[in-house]
Amino acid sequence: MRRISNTVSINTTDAAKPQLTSLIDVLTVLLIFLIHSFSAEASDVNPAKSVILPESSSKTIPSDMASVAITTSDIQLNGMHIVTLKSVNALGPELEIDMLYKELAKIGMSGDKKEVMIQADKKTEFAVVKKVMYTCSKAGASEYTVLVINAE
Amino acid sequence: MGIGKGKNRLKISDCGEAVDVDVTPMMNVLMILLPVLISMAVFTKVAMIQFSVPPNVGTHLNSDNGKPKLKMTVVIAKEFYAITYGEKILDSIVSNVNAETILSGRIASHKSSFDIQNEAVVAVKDNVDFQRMVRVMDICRENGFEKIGVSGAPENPDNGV
Repeated sequence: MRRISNTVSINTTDAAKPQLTSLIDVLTVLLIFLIHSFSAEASDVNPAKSVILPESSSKTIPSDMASVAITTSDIQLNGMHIVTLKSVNALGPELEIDMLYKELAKIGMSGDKKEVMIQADKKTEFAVVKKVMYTCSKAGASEYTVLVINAE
Repeated sequence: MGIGKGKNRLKISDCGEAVDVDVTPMMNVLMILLPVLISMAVFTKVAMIQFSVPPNVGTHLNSDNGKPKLKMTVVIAKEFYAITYGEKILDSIVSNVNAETILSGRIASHKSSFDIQNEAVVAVKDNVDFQRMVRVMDICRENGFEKIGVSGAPENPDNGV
């Protein structure tokens, strides 16, 4: 059995050193970027998948509350599918979304303010948002918030 | 002013080679710090905007007749923006690239004529995108209207808006 020392010859007096300067440069830039994007005030709110939120200059940190998401295909309550957007559009001038009202009534509105957070895709037409707001209002909501992406 | 002059002269080891800084401990720290920071990094910052439906925007009543005081209303349609106050149309702006900047300027110029200067109503037509509504809410907030009410704008109102 051959020994490694027989096959690999290393000059012990002048071993080749890897050039780490450029790697250190990259890591330092990465570190600065990550420290800059680090947020001490973490938010519990996670935007719904498949929703592209509108951009805004608002910096108010969202708090946890009942959340109605209007995606490009359906309406969700706290992440649970409630009704498709097609059937909401098919309601015509009628404002109340029955399925959403029933689910909102089931979970009830907690807290004094009875707030609802609306997470709507930025291309959603106001006609749909209006129906969601009307239904939430009928279920007892009095304050609304919209979730946005801070563009600054 | 040379690097190699005087007391600040760069020291070279006796054998003629520049002294290498041992970067291994720094590398170790970075290798631990980076995964921690990457796992905690916030790449998209979410925020929220609060609003109410118009009757809840404020409870200001006119002392003379008990009716609610008028608030500035910004009407958003696909083709234009309009600033109204009661039944009066103060301004209308055609939708284009600069419309939002112009709207912001017009709101600022009319602000002093309003009784309530911290509340506004945003009236939106059905076919308007959510992004435009949020942008107008931002413009109102930037002009000092902290309390915002959102309502639907009638499609064929008598006053032409």
